[in-house]
Amino acid sequence: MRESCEEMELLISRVLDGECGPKDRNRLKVHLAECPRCRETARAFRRGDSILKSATDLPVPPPCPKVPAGRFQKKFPSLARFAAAAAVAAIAFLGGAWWAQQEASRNLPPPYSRVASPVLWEKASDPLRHEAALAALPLSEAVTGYQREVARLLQQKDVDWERVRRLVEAIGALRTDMELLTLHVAYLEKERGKFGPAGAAWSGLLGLDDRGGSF
Amino acid sequence: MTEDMHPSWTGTESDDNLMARIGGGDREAFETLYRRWSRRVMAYACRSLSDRGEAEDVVQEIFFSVFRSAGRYLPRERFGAFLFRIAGNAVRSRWRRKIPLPVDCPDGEEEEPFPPALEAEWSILEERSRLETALAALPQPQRNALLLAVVAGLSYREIALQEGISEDAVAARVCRARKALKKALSAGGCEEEEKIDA
Repeated sequence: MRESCEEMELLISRVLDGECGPKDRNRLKVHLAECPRCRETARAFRRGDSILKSATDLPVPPPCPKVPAGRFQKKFPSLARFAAAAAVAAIAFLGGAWWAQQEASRNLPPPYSRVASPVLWEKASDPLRHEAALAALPLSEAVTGYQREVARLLQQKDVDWERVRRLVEAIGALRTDMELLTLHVAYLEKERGKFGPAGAAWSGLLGLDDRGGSF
Repeated sequence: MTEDMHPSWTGTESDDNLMARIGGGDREAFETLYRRWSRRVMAYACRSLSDRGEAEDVVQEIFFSVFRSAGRYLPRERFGAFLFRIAGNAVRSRWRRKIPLPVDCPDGEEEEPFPPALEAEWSILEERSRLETALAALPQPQRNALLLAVVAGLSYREIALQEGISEDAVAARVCRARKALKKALSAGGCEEEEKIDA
């Protein structure tokens, strides 16, 4: 009988949770009819449940949290639209900037290339030197500035090697830019049939052949 | 979920519809859902944590999580199971941070002495107090299974999925928890239980 009662306790618990089939329900009914101990168990289980469920002794929940209206789904499409518009604008801007840069390169005064080496500088006229110097100034100023900064850093006790590395990289990139720029100018000059001394000098210096360059 | 509240207060719209609206940023739907479920979640949190202040924090956390996840919510299961999975996680994370303190939920009966004439009420409160103490003393897995079954109204299957155990294990946990509470509720406590067993 004792074992059976233990089994019935589990059954009572299952019935209270609605987790019992009709067959087990009937088994329990028959058992309860003849077992006062299990009837008491059923009463106590039910009493416990009703106290747990009642929640009358519990504090009321806190007020509903304030949440922003129109989140996620409503906002997401507008965010997506905004992001798409921003991307188009950025592409247009960058594309425009690139095109303008290309144009500027094309229209770059040939004198720029003529100041890039002492040989070329020697051959250029004064107005041309002036013009070329002005055109080359931003890049060369940047390179010079970076070189000075590197020199200053290297004199310090604790050298900021990361900063030095970044500056050296920048100098290298600017030099490459200058070289490419001058190469481009030489190519354009040659294409336009204005193959003057500057173009010729640069062609020789940069390894351009007579067919008009390699890039 | 509306058994103790008027429909005008908790609405008649399904939980899934409300979630869809909340996912679209509908604050009113969120408030309706909150009114519908917050008492039950509060009861679960309060009885799980035995600490009113913490329970309030957890209820807010749980509903914030519901709000945040509403946009991704798919009605593949009962909303209650979804809600109490979030609630279970929130409560578990609190458990990890603290050892539950003695019950602090009942609203101040300790401070207010009851007149002798209110014997019946006093005995009810005593009974509740015993039950709360016994509940707080239960091993956490048993307590959680019992609260999910009785307070949250989840099925054994839903609890089993949430807890990562079998349905039979859930049934056993719930039954053991009930037996412990029964012991606390019986007038003589342990002595009477021992008498019956003898």
